[in-house]
Amino acid sequence: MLLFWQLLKDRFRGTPWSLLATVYLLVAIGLFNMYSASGADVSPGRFNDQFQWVLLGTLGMVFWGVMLDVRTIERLSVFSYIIVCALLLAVDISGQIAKGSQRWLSLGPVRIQPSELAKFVIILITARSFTFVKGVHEFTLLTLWRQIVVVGIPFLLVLVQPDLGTSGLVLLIACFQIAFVRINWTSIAIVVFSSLSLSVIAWNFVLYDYQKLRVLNFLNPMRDPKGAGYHSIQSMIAVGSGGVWGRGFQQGTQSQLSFLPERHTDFAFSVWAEEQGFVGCVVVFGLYLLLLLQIFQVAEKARDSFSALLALGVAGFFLFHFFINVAMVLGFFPVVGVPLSLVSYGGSHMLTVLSCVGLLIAVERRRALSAT
Amino acid sequence: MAENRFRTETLIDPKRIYVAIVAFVFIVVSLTGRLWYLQILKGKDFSIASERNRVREVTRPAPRGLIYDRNGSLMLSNRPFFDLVVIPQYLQNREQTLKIVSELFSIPLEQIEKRLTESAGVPHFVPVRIKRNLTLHEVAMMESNKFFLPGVDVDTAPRRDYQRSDSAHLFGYLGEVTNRELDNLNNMSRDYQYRVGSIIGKMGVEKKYENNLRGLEGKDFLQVDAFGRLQSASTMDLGLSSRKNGQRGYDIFLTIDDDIQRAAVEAFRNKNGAVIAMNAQTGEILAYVSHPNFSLSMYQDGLTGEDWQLLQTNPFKPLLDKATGGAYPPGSVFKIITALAALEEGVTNPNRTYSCNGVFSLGNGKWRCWKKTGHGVVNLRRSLEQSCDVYYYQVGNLLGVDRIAKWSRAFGLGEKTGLDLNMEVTGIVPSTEWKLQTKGAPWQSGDTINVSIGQGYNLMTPIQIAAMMAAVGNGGKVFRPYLLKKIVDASGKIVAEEKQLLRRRVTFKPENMAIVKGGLEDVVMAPSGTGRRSQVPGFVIAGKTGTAQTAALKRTKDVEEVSFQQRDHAWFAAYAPAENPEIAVVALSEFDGGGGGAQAAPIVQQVLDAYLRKAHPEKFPVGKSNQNLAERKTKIGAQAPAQEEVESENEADSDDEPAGD
Repeated sequence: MLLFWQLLKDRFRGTPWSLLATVYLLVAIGLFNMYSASGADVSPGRFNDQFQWVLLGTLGMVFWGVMLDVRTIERLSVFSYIIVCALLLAVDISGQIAKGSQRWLSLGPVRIQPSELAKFVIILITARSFTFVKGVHEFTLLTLWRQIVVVGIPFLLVLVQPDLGTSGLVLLIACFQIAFVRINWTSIAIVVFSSLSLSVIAWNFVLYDYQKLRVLNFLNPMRDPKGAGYHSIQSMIAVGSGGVWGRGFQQGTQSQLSFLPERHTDFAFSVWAEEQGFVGCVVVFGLYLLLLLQIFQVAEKARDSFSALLALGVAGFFLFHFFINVAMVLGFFPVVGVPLSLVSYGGSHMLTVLSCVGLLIAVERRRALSAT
Repeated sequence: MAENRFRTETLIDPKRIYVAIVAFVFIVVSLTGRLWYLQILKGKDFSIASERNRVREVTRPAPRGLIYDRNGSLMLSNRPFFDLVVIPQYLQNREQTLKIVSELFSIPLEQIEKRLTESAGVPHFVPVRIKRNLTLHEVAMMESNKFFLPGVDVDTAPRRDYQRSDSAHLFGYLGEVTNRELDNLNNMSRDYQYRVGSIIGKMGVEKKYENNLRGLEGKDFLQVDAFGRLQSASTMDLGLSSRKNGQRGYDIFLTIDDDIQRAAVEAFRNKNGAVIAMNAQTGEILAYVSHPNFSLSMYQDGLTGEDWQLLQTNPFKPLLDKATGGAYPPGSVFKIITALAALEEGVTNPNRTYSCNGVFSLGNGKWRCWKKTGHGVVNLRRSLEQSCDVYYYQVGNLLGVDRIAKWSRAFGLGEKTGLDLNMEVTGIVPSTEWKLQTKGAPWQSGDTINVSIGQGYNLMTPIQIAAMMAAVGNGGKVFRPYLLKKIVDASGKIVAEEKQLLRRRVTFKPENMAIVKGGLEDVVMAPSGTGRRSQVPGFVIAGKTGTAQTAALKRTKDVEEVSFQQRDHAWFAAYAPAENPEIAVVALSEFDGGGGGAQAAPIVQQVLDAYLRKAHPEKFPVGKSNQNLAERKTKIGAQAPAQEEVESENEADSDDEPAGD
């Protein structure tokens, strides 16, 4: 018995408990908010659902963070990458057959969204793609060909679903990771300049008006003439009417009376802002700031580049979801389907997020181990 | 570390991590700034926007105030009416339900759909009226099928209970506000409760006292969701009173005495024109009738195009209020003015006589007296009693039109009386100046001859004649006629009262007026008086008949042969008791064909009888009044034909015939 306890203690050594506390505080806020958003809707289905996904996600976190160590994760990276790419392909094919946008895949009793899992494996595969590098090295566009290929495949597979939001995030997370690698500035300049000028040229000289409109609608599905900006406006009304202290638990009229669209998922933060006010929002911002600082600390302290890239990928994951979602809720950003991690409803996303947190645990445990 | 190739520094640039941290802090700060802007700087605005989103205001119309007569007897009240409504929010199986409703209540399906489409903009929980004023049978039918028709219901609304069908012009009809009226009313009332579709008074008392009668509409503040559905089960606090109570309109007490009003309506049955009874000492209107009447409930139920056509094409113009809006030649009633003017201006004296041989000649014109054989020698008093035209041709010629006009205006003729009900007209008091301006022609002495007996260019409204007659009786006080006794709020407090208003005071020598009044008494009281049919036993009454020609044509014996537009108007104006008048009554029967003495005097008699019986019951034989009335009626009835036989020509030909050759 004592031996078992000792084993367990060893297993959890190095676990970043304060980081986990921050994560689960945000999860609790998300569950509370979801319960409130369901309001008069008596069926507790959504809340229970999410609670189960949190448990499942925690299992995923324990699997990646406690059961495995960084070396195993490195070895598993390619395998899980291939599996997720296969799932994405399956989604694309079934989407082709159903002649419509397809994002879900039913695996027995659960329906998962492989594009969410893609955000996870992109972190793994990007980090993995740099393990071939020996010695100090400055990268150019040509020497990054491996990364371009492995990121490009899932990006395209998600893009054709079509899901611009998620594919964009996949690309952003990977770029965020690569941005920390020593790449020569000429290459970065070439990429930034050429992509900017290409898009400007395309927008002004190549695309027809209807194509531009299609792009805009693709970016923002709510962009029809009648409801132009409806989601954004309603979200801003919800946030603004929250005032300093908010309207209270289940008292947000914008969300409770369905003026707010997608109040459980993409606009969950609007509900929070309406009901908990400026003070509540600052609490969430503070927790996110704390979370990101801790993740960057994990990255900074990591003993090897693979670990550091994993942690940076997770940081990018949280950062982009947070920024895009909150900016969208506050009317800063067009409406795209990006959830607020840990807070929004969504099983696959919760599973992915908590698995990402698992990666951080693995990195921290590895550091603790090598420190001894 | 053995595996040197994994060393972090070999690949990762640690400085970039700090850059990323700074960038993220910047992001969080700018998002917080945005949050500050939305929630704290603009929080109020967004709260208002949020309230606008969810709170819908539903108004409940206020019941209109009731209308009472001077004694507090109810004249016009409200009762609940039942409407068939569809509430789109609760409608299930829409197509089938609407089909059943269409069949049950025999409403075309397209009409239901039309009503529903018209209300597409309003929230789904607001009932849409499909059929108004259901019968009790229909209500019962709806109640028994309610279970099978979710979303269909019976709604009650207070409306005017038009149990009595008379006096449409007095009460006036209600109708939907027009856009022009909308602006005026809202500017006037300042509480902006009128909107498209609001029901307002369009005529009569309902229009004149709209501001008092309308009341304050109640408001329900209801919470709706994004789809416009009512959220009654919501746990949320509305944050404001969910209900603003309305207020019933103020009750109006008219100066009308309903007993006299009913007597006037009864007496005026089958006649067209107007009857007015007025308090001779104050100007209070006691009875106010204009015929032909029209149906007020027809307006409330919704006027069909067909009804509208009928009202518009009816040659007797039912929508015109004849009492204030109808200008007629006054006929011999006007001789009162001519007589007094002649005495006051000294062109004649009470003893001066003229010989009437039936014809008056001036230049190469000839004017006939209504009595072809002539009246013989007449003085002023007898000229009134017999309504001798030749006498007035003579004195009128001596007076000239401008002096006649002066005395006309002194009695308030040619101007609005100030009753301000419906569309009052001024009528015409002709003068040399008037003719020059309007006709562009100089005045002819022949014109004066016609005017002196109330023909020619003279045009007067019954309400003017009533005020004039009261002034003759009360010693020259021309009062503004008025209808309002008091306005009372729900608690019985008097909100407003109207007081008598002396508009003009005519000055004259009392002895001159005494002569004229004596002549007017003879008209009624003398055995051969032209207005004797207005007698009420026990009272001395003064009056004057008038038969106004509408066209100068050869006298035809059979009135039926003349198209009605060319028939004469029959006037009778009286006041009673003659000594100290309490009441003045005017009856005008337009296009009557009969003379004033035969056709209008009996109407005035009935109104006077109703009044005097109420005011002076001691002068009437003791006994049940109803029985009494019947008795008295037969008595008068028996008396009248005997007289008529004796003076049949007088009656049939009527009393005036001013025909300038």
